[in-house]
Formats: sequence, C-alpha cells, structure tokens
Amino acid sequence: MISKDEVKKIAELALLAVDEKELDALTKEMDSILEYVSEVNEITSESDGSHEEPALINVMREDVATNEPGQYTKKILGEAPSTDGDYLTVKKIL
Amino acid sequence: MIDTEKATIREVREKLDAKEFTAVELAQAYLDAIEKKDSEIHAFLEVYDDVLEQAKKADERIAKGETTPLLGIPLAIKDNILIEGRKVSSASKMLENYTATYDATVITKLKEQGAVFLGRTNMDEFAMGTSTENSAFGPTKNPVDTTRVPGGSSGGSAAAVRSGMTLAALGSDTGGSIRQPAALCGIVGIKPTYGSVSRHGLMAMGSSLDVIGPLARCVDDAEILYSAIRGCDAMDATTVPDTRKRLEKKKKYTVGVPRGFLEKGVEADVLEKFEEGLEALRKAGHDVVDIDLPSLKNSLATYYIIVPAEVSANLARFDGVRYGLHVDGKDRIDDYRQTRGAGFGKEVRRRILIGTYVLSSGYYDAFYNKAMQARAMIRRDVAEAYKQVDAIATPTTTSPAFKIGEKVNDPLALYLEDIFTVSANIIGTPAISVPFGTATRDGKELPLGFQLMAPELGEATLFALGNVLTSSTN
Repeated sequence: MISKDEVKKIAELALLAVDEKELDALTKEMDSILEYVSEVNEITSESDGSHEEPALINVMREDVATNEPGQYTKKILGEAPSTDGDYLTVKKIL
Repeated sequence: MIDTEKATIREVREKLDAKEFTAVELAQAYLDAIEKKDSEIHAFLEVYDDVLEQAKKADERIAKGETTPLLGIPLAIKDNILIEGRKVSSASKMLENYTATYDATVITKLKEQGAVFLGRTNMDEFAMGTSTENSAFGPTKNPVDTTRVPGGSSGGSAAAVRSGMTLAALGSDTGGSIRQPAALCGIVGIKPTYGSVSRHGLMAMGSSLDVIGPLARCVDDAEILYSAIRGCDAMDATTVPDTRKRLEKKKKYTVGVPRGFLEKGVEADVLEKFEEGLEALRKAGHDVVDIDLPSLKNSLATYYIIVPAEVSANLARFDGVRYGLHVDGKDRIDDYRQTRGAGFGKEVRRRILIGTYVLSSGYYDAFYNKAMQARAMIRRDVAEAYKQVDAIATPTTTSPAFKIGEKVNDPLALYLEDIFTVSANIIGTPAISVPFGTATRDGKELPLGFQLMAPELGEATLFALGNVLTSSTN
C-alpha cells in the first residue's frame, strides 16, 4: 500500500527528520494501519456521497481586545528558543 | 483521619465545611499518599511545591464562611491543560521546559471555586495512545497490578485517582482517553458532549473530537467536577451556548445494546460481566433492548483517518522557533526537520506521517474524504437509534488491562483498544465508563468498565444510569 520511498517523501512534506534505519519499520507499520483504515472505502460504498456537515452556527462577539497591549509579550517571548529584542530569530531565509 | 483511597468529594466537602479537618490537612494527606506511592506508580510528572499554600488560601475562604463544591478539594491535572506560570509538557520532549503563559478556561473555573492543584499527571505524548507507554518520561503503572498499563492517554490521572493520590482529576478524551483508563483502573470517567467544556488552554490533538472531562472515584464526584468545568466560553467558539436545552433525568430509561457490535473480539468473561450489568439495569426497572447499529463498527477506521489528519495539522505549530525544543539543522528548513524529528516520539511521528498521507492530494479522496462520508453515515445511524433508546451500552474495552510492553510494538493492536469508545467522539455525544466487576488474569482481579453513551447534552442520563450500575455492585 505504501512504499519506503513514499514514506520518505511524506516525511519531507511533514518537515520531519526520520532516521534511515527507522524507515523500514515505519513503512511496515504505516502500511498495516493504512490497510486497516482503508476499510472506509467499503463502508462508504452505500453512501449517497454526502459529507460530514458540521452543525455550524455563527458565533459572534464584540471585536475588542481581551488583554492590554504587551501584557503577554514578555512571557511568550520567554518561551522562544532564540530572540533578538522583541523579535524571534531564525536562520537566513533568502 | 482521611482515607484517601476511599474519600469522595461530597464527603470531604461536608467535613471541610464542618471543620473536621482543614484543607491544609487534607492536602497534606494527599501529598503523603503521593510520597508513599508515586515512586512505584509514576502517575505524576510533577507535584507542585505550593500545594499547602493553595490549601491555606482555601482554608481562609472556608474560615470566612464561604463554600463552593470544590473549595479546598485536591485535584490532579493532565499534563496537556495549561495553568499559568506552571510547566506543561503533554509528556513530550518537545515541551519539556515549556511554561504555560495563561490559564485554560477549566483552570480559571476551578481556581474561582478554590480547588487545590496537586500536580500534573502523566499521559501518552500529546494524548496519542491507549497505555501511557508513549510518554517521553516513562510509563505509568496500573495501581491494581503494577505489571500492567493504566490505559491511556489519561493514564496518570486514572492511576492517581485509583491509588488515592488525588480526590479526582481532569483528563481529555479524543477517542477514549478518559473512559478507557478509567475502565482499566476501576474508576469513573466521563467524556462530556463535544463543546460542553471549553477547549481553551487544552493542547490540541484532534480539534473536532477533543474534550476535557473528569476522572473520579464515584459517579457523583464526576458530576460535581463536570458541573464545575462546563459552560459556554468566548475563547472557544465551538462551545455549546448555555441556552441549549440539556436532557433531564427521568425515572425510567430504555437502554439499547448493539449486539452485532459485540459478537467478535470481546473476551468471554468481559462479556459475561457486561450481561450482569444489563441485568442490574433491568432489575432497577429500566428497559434493555437489542438494537442494530452496523455502522458503529466502522467508527474505528474512520477515527484513525480523521485523527491523524487533524494531528498533522495541529502539530505543525511545533517549529522550534516560537516555543519548545529547538534543534539546529544545516539551514532554516532543516531546523524544522531536526527539531520535529528529535522532539516528537514514535507514535506522534507515525500519526503526523499518516495524517500527511491521507490529506495529500493523491490520497485525499480515498481516505480523508471517505472518512468524512463515513462520519456522516455513523452520525445519521446513531441519531436514528436514539429515536428508540435513551442510551447505548457496551463494555468500555474488550479486555482488562494488558501488560506493560505487551503491545508496544504493534500500533494497530493499541488502536483496537479504542474500538468501543471512538464512536462517541466521532458524533460528539457524551459517554461514561463506570467500574463494573472484574476479570481474573494471572491470579489478579482486574477492573472492567461498563460504557454508556447518550445523545447530545445527555450527561444527566449517564449519571443516573451510572449510579444504578455502581450502586448495584456496592
């Protein structure tokens, strides 16, 4: 159902480093899980094609600030691995 | 003075109000129990160092004549619910050193009542698992038999309640994560109606399924805790408006049994106990009828497409830039890869990959789209069943607690633990697991759970019937 190369590709898309030696076991496990869940194809063979329609209602509230400016800034930045003043730092983008 | 393995919230409330003991003495009794037992059980990832100070504040409020259902009541909180200024990790290396920057809405409500937080409990990493073996900080053991798992993902909360290390606890349930550990530890656990309890401040796993709920020693305690945490919240737009009508308790219920769903895979003595439970309901004057609900057995496959899909989206936020672990790679993109590869455990990575796969353009139609069709079918079928019955009964699990390590290399076998519990999450309805009987394995009597599901906002039905079952065994 799923090949090692596909797992590798998916891991790249998911931005997830996967150890080369872990790939075989992972492929096997994913294969058995995907085979199991593909049961939904049989289930839905009698479906009229209608989808899950969540019971949506509009939830409105006043457009007001729920906190003072800067109230959480220090706390939140305190959790960041690397900052420069009030900015998060990352490696060069371009 | 206080038998922490037997005490209930209601009883303790009366004694606190009657000044038989103080909240500080009560908290100390639980701290002593933790000190004595938790080195073996490992239910807590952290016991807070200000427990007695919290209790002292509760005592001051009690001294002023104030009372609330939870004033001075010690509680344990699952490690995926935020308490401002305290560490919260979802039992993941990714958040090992993370400190919450705000209170979850349920915590705000509990603080207003004056509850005392003992500590944060162990769980499967990011709530993904059915045994608490997926914790990055080591497994929790089942207090009934320490060679066995306590269930999961709220295994730490369940084990802490069972062993008298807390009076009650909060957990979260995405596919059975409150009910299955409650069953395996022999306590009560309820997954409330989706949206009846705010998810604000709960770390997201499967956002269309997640709900916070109580684990407690008895049904009444679960009800007290549930009443304390529920309610509409402006910070969670999926919460149910308080004006919506809740089902009220009634004298006589009709309970449906989906026989076809129980034919395969349930161990013989588990099924026997379940039949005894049905008999107890009949004896109490309720009707028990067989119902045909073939789509229930399709819930698990549906669930294990929807959940990984939502997981892969929700956990994309862990990028090593804004918070949590950061592992340096060779460039910016590689930073993400290395951080996520190192920070997430096996099961989390597996679900992210499966989720990415079922949402990818080539497979979206074959998997995610089909799962959403199946979800609609299951919802329709169950809604149809609730026209005939007030509640649906099944065992909570197919077997009692399994051995630690027994299924650790077989992810699919662990998924099958959820077979009876996931359907309530898929349709968003409430479900309870109450302890009912035991099954003997290797000479040990292991607890079994009896599950009752009810229509939306039908928690009262579950508390009423749950009480019938638990009082029949006492």
